[in-house]
Amino acid sequence: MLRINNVSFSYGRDRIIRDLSAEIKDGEFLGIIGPNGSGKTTLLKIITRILKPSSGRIYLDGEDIGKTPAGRYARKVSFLPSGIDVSFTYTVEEFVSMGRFPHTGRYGSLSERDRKTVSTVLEKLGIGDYDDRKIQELSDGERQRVFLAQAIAQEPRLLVLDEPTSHLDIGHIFRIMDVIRNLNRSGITVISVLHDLNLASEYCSRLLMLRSGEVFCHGTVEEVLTFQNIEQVYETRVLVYRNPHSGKPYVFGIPEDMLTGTKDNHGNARD
Amino acid sequence: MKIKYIAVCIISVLAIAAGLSLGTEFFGLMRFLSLSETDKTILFHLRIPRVMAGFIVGAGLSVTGAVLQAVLKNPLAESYTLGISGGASLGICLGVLLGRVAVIPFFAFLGAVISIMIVLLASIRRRFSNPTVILLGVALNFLFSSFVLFVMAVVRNEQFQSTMLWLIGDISYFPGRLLSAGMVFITLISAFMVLSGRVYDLMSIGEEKAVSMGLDMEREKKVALLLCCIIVGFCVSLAGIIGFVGLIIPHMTRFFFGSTHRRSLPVNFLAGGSFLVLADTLARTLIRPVEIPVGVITGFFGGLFFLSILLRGRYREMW
Repeated sequence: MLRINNVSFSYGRDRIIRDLSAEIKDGEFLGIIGPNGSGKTTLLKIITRILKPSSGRIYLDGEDIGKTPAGRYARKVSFLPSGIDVSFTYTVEEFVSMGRFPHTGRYGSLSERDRKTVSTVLEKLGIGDYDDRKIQELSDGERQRVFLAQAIAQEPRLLVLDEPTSHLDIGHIFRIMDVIRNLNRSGITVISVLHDLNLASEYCSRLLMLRSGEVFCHGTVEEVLTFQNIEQVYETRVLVYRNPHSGKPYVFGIPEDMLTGTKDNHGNARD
Repeated sequence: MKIKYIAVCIISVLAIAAGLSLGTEFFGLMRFLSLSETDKTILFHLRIPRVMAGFIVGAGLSVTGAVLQAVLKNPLAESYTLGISGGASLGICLGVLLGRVAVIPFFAFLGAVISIMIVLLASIRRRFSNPTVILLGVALNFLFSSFVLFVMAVVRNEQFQSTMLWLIGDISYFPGRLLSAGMVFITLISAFMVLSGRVYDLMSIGEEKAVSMGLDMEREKKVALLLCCIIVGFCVSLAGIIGFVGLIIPHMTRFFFGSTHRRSLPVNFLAGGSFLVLADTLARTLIRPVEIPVGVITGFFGGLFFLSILLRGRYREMW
């Protein structure tokens, strides 16, 4: 279980995260949503220890993450940031093998078990047959799967993702999200920032909605994705229907020139 | 893969052999077998030290080039383009002025550290992009070099002037004792860098990834840069400012051996050493009996290499 206790973070004078508390249970698939600049990525970076909170503490299984040795934490939590530098020519296998670093240590080399873990992960993500290809030669979608594979090769209990589907076409989006869901079902806790509310609705078990660095709403998908919440947080008009297939909330945006006259039935229009 | 490693080893042996046998005096196999007294003097007091110095300097510059590129994630980074060499040469210049010739590498190291600190602090504070960092480094290099030239012009002391001669990139003038110290330090640090190769792999794919895999980025960066400064300090003390070796060799190595540092750094060591020995041999034999400073040769090839990257727009493709 991950417990975030009154965490604040300031960058210069800007308070990006304000006194934020939340609990994420084992096995959850938590989506973090909120407008640009609401502190989503900053929160992820605090959870992954890239940033130190100005105040407050985070506990993973009751242990203060600020006091956990870096190597041990890296064996429990892995992170897929949104910007990974691909300017060096690594092959897919070399790149994914880097994920074993927390297990081998800086002077160690890959053991038989490490290699096996890497090839299993590559198989699982459907990129097993191009381990010798260079990551620059891949399409965006394939590359994102390689990045994800690296994070999984770390064998984390908690997988933290920053917009894993941005810039991908719809086919790759669902392939990536399905992989993440399968991981989640195999017992890995997932925390992911997602921009697409409908994707969040479809895949996440719970949502954490942020506004200006504070928790606006934290609960099940149905509790969080109401038109009232979305309109308040994003300052826009939306309609919330249900996906007829999954029964999950589905959010439609409304262009401004269609607004006149629809004011009464927005949101309530579902079914 | 193995064949490529063997090829690199063979190239190194051939380069050393060429360095030993070519020059104002040609040493064929027969002459090696029956050395006269003069031959022995030439070989043991001139050729061998010079080839050793060339090899270790080339090796050090290539290894630091590769590490700097990974640590700073900057494809054009190396000791010359970052201004580290210039800083080291200014350090040496001041050291000689103060009459501390015995600890020249220490002054070179100090100069190197100060210049890399200037580059890093400025680029962090101003959020410079990669090419801008290189511009800053080159500018610093010019500043330092002109200061060195200024001191040389003002101090009309013959001994001082001859001490400074090697700063323009020449392997023939280094003070004798330096060679063994340089060889020990550069070899040991390079070996440590090979062992730490996986750390540089992580650093090369981004700070966030590296930290999330348990690296203490700040500390690793400082250690890597300090080690680079020690190596560059020795290189500049031995051979002056030699540009572009740390750029050409790491790029070519990556092309043939990939980027994984455990694998590429040893190759950089051997290939860099061979390259500089060959360049120096060329410098000695091109217009015999006149010797050109080796910096002229490396600068020529480096400039062409730099241009080919820029003009063909292969800036990103090279990687």
